[in-house]
Amino acid sequence: MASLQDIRRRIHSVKNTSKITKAMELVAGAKLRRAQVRIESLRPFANGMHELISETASRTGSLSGQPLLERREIAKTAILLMSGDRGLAGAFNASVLRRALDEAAVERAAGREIVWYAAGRKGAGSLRFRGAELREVWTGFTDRPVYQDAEQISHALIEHYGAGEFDRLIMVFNHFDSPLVQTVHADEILPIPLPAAAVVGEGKPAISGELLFEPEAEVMLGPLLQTALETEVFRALLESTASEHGARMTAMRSASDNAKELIDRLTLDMNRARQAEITQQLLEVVAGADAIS
Amino acid sequence: MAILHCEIITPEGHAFTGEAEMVVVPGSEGGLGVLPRHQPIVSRLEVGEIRVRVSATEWRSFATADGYFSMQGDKAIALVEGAVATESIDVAVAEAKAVDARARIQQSEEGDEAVNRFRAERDLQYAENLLRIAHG
Repeated sequence: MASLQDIRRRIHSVKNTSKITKAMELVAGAKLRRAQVRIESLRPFANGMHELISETASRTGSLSGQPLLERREIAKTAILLMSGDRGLAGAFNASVLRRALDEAAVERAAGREIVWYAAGRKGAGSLRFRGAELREVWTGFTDRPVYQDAEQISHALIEHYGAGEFDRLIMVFNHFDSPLVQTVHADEILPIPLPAAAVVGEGKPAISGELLFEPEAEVMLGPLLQTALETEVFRALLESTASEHGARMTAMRSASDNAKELIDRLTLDMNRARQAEITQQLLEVVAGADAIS
Repeated sequence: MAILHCEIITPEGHAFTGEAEMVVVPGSEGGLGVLPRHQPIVSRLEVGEIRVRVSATEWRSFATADGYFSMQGDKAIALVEGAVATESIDVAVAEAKAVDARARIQQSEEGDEAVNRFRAERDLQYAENLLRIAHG
């Protein structure tokens, strides 16, 4: 049995750890609430973009000039892996990585090459460790992404897509369902899936008079689609951030609970050891007294 | 007098919602002033300033990033990538951002591949727009 001293030392160290996990739980909780608000705040913008694209596409004679919509023969698939910059968030980073590797295996089995992209340090590190070559990596913002981060990612993706470096892009990220539940989504975001409502050339008449486009609808659609991609990437970044904080909060809560359990058990052990020590000493005193008398 | 219902929407939420007599936006084909009963229009917006006349004497102004503007019926909606009310622009912060962005562009020109040139140029564009509008 461990000595009293040893047990005391262990209790002390577990207590310290639980203080840290408790603090991390609180911080993650506060950040989670903020991240949830930001997902909500994006909704009006995303809906507005959606409507505008449907509207514009429905007034366009043809979509054939839009490279972001064009479906090509798929020889190379790109996978954008969204993870966190930091660990200690339960299965958050591992589950998104596993899903990305599964997707890659399926694509490879279909005879397609994989082009890797990563947002977030953890995912990038894991992919490199597995020997994957990363075309581009973005880090340093997963704690609190801003729209410009999404813009920067989309800009590079559109450029590479235009240059024919890949023919299809799958974005793998954690979708925030609730603080306890995050599901990994793998969405195809390039070529851009057109909203079902956007039927070419079937524009409903404008409310009053002809709807004027500046520049004309065909020209406008290009930048609109780019913004749509940015919005999609931004939404995924926000979802991923909320998921990360949610997963970290849950992981830290169970770590704190475990620590509490461990402390209880160790305290019991400690008391037992102390009792044993006292009994031992008593026996010695009694035995000594017997010997003298 | 007829009024417009005006919204300025960014990815971070609404920057402005309310009634307006007139809205002036930086359209990509030139500035655009929209009054109630304007012909329905959809326009691209450049980095610049959106001005909203909420009453005969009161204007609200916003420094905005690029985006889109749509006016249909009595609804004028600006979807922009970012908007800051002119009175709440922090000049010191904007200046610091401009300096930082210029430094990154400089680094990139000296061949530093770790710098994202596109991002640096965008950051500079936004910061300069904030400063220009804050200084009137």
